[in-house]
Parts: sequence; C-alpha cells; structure tokens
Amino acid sequence: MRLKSFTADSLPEAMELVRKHLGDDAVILDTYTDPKSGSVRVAAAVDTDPAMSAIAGGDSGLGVFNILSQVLDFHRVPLDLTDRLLSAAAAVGAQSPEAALAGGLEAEFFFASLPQAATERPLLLLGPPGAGKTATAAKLAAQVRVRGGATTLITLDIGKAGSLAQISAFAEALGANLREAHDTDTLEKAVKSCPSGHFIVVDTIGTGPFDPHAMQELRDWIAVADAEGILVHQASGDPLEAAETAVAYSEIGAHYMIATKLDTTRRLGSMLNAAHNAEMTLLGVGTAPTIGGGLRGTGPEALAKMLLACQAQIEDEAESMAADGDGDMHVARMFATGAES
Amino acid sequence: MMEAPKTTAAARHALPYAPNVIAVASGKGGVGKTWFSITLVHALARRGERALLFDGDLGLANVDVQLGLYPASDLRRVVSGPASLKDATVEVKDAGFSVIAGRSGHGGLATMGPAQLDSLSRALMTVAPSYDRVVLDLGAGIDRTVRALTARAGINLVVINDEPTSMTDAYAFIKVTLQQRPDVDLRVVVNQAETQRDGERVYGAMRKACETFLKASPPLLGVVRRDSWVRDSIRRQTPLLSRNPNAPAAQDVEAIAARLLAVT
Repeated sequence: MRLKSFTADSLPEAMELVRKHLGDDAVILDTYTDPKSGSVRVAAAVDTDPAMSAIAGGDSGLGVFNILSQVLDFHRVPLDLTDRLLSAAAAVGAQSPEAALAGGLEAEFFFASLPQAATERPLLLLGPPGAGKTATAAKLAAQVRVRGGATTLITLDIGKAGSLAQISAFAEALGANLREAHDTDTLEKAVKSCPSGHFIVVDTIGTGPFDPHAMQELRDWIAVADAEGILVHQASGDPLEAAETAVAYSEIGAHYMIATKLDTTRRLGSMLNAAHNAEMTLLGVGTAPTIGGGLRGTGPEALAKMLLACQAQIEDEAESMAADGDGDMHVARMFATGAES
Repeated sequence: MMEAPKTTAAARHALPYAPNVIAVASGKGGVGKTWFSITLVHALARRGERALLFDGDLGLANVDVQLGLYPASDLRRVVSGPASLKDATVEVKDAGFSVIAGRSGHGGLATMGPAQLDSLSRALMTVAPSYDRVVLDLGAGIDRTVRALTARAGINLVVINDEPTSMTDAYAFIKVTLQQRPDVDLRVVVNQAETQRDGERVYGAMRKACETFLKASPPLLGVVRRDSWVRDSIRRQTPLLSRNPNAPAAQDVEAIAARLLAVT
C-alpha cells in the first residue's frame, strides 16, 4: 500500500492532487479540515506491491520475473506457492534469477544441514513405502561414519522380506551397530541401551499416511524414542498429493524432510509443495543410489541452482514444439515467454 | 480403498496455537510497542491474572532495559541450548508479572536459523499453559520470526500511531498475517494519540485501507493517549502503572486490558 497526504485550500483541489499523484484507483482514507486555516488535508492510498513492482519494473527486473515464473511453471509448482515465491524473490531486489530465487526460497522455506556427528535426539525416518528410507538411513549413517562418529542403526522394518538383510549389509559395510526392535517396548530399550555419543538412526516400516492405525504407531515410536521425525519422501509425484501426505506426517511429529530420487526427477514442484505446506525443514536430497555420496545437504542457493537447471530443457522443448507445426507453435511461444499471455 | 484424507494442504494454517497468548506487533518500530506490551502485561497482572511477558523481539530486545532487569539468562540462550526456560524467567516483584527476556545485557545481533526458530516457538508453547495470559512482544516488521510467532498467538494486536509509515507497515503486517491465517483474531491499538477522537480517526483510516484492499476490518481495541508520564517512566526504568497509575496512558491501557479479558 502506498499512502500519501495532500493539503490544499479546498476539498476538490485536494482531490485533484490525489488523482494526479496516486491515479484514479486511489482510495480516500481520511479527510481533515483545519478549523483555523480552513485548509483541507486528504490521506489517500493505492494498493501496490512495491516489491513486486520493483522486480517487474526495469529491464532486468522483468527478465528475472519472467524467467522465474517460467521455471516454477516447468516444475509444476502450484500457483499459490509460485505467487509467494515470486513476491519473496522480488523483495530480495536481486538482479540475477539465481540470487532472487535463492532469496525467495530462503524466505519461504526452512533449511537445516545434515548431521555430521551424534545428534541430541535419535533420528527416526518415516514415510510411505518405497521412498528409500533404508537407503537414506544408511546414507545418514555414512555421513557420520566417515567423520569417525560411532553410529547405531535401529530397524523397525522387520516384517518385509529381505529388509533385514539389506540393512545388515549396510550396517556391516559402514561399521555401524545394528539393533532390531519390534514394538514400542523393544524400541525404547534399543534406544536407551545405545552407548552415549552414538549417532542413532531408526528405520521404520513404510506406512500409508492415511492409515490412522499406522500413523498412531509412528507417533508412539517417535515418543518412546524421543526422536526427531524425518519424512523420507520421493521428490516426484503430484504436488497436492505430496503436500497432503507431508502434512499428515508433520501432524504426528515429523518436522524434517529428506527428498529422494532427485536423480530420476526433473520437476520439483511436488517436493517444494510438500515441504512448504507441512512447514518442514529441508534436510537434504537423495541424488544417487550410492551410499557414499548419494545424500546431499541443501540450502536456498543449492536449491535455486537445482530449480534453474531446467532452463535448457525449457528452451529445447519450446524449439521442438515449435518445429511440430503452427498449432503447437502458439503453445510453445506462450510457454517460452512465461508470464505474458 | 484408501480413506479420504482428513487433513488437507490447508491444514498448515491450523498450526497449534495458544489461545491465551496475546501477540503485540507493530509493523514499524518506534510506535511504543514494547512500552505498550509491558504496560499491558502489568495491567493484566493488576487484574489478578498470572501474566507473563515473553520478549519475542530477539534482535532489538529491550524489555529488560525498560524494566531495569538483569535476568540471569535469556531466550537466545534458551533456543541455542544452554539455558532452560526457568533460568530465563524473571519475576518483576512489585508489579506481579514475570518476564522472559529476549536478550539479557548486550548479546550480539544474530539471525535466527530454522532450528532456533522452531525452538523459540516451542518455548512459547511450552511456557504458555503455566500462565493465564502471555503477552508476546514481537519484533518490528514482518520477518520470519515475527510470522512464526504470530501464528502461535490467540489474539494479535497491531500497534499503530498517526505516522503514514506506521500505517503502511502495519497494513503490510495485517496483509501477511491474514494470508497466513485467514481466521486470525486481529485488533488495532492506536498509541500516542493526541486525543481519543484523533486516535479513532487514525483507526478509521487504517480500517478503510483494510476494508478496501483486504476485504477485512480488524476492530479497534483501544486508543492510548500521548502522555509525558510515559517518557518519564521509561527513563526511570519503572513501569508506568507503578509510577503513576492515574496517568492518562496508564488508564487507557488498563481499559484495554479489561476489554481483552472481556472478549477472551
């Protein structure tokens, strides 16, 4: 909102000043006549988003705005989140798309770095089946092991065929302790009996986010282990579905998120929407199946780079669509110019 | 078949909040927000409420300075680990309320990381049930700390004065808060008004802007008149209600406290 006061000898004159300086859309908020001098003061306002007009104004501003809206559209970021990101990006006043987007992400998202040593509370990984929890547990343990930290993996994932074998192999390769738990009692014992100073990661059974029984069980596990819940979720998928899933997990106490399978995902709107809606802190991203280097920390700058990496694809697609014929060319042009339609 | 999800993406707006927390925001600095928070918590205590002043303005916290307190610890040390909430709580004996200072002495001006921010919100939620009322003094502006704490409050008061920048910054706060929580309970307090009527005019302009541009009309909770006793009490590091409970500004804040207790 832009607010300005104008003083003149009469009301019509003051109103004329308002129109001249703020335009026809101005709203009169207050008028005041000085009883002594008879002069009239009018306070008027127009609703502008100064930050938005700063980024949309000027040559580089419009360019940055167009690039970012195009990029977020490519990633299928939902419109409301796009709006928030663009306003936040605009408020940064940065000249480059990378800096503006990083600023927007910093304002709208929470980031934390991956643990490199024992954490205050055990980490408990949860999420839908097949998201890569066990591999992520191993990757987290590896980050601490390479720095010489003692690590214990606790598995609650014992019902599934082959899962114990998988985590045993990981634990052995990493030189980490391995414990099994079957329920809240054995989990509590397993955590309590860990030597102090150990980095503890609890790997759980994959659960459906809308199965109340399973979710209650997870909530109990987090409580007895006094653990930090971390949602492990694949980066791809429908953005709304991902958001609802993440909110369901956040309600039982998962405040962190690790997005997996970034190496097989190009459109990151789902991951962004999930983290934003559930107000989860992004801890890292799984970028390769290898246990050694497959989990990376992320922050606003790194994430901005990742999101902007699609620019080459956007251009390629626009060109190939243009080559397909007239009808498609229209679509391609609109796509390539983003916000102009 | 899978059951229909009970929670939707919109549920992020329904963060757990503490109904007895009264957040005091201002948009712009320098409108007397911290003074108002102190006097309000004092007035609530005088009405028999177990009241706490939670200093959420960690950047420029000066509740301790205004009250002449020397807390053993502060929120900054609570959120970064070494101190407990109990360590940071100080009782202002004669006034009958407690204070958790944002920053004791002259700690550095560090920005809040997400983990600390989470921990700050958690500290507020932990401590709130032990009191009847918690007055939460927010920082100026609409940064992440302010937004995160606002989301936890039962009532949000926006303190403005007649300066245009105060109005525009308060408007920005209201806009952002409504986006974050459309059902939020927002009320306006006009501070440093020449007269009650002047204060009502300032509020009228604010409401007009909100109605026109935001389709919302946050009600007026009260007007606090400009009063030389306020300066005097700040200079002496003594709460106004201890120094001169009959001062016009003191009576205005007491009336506001009574109204707050009546609506919640």
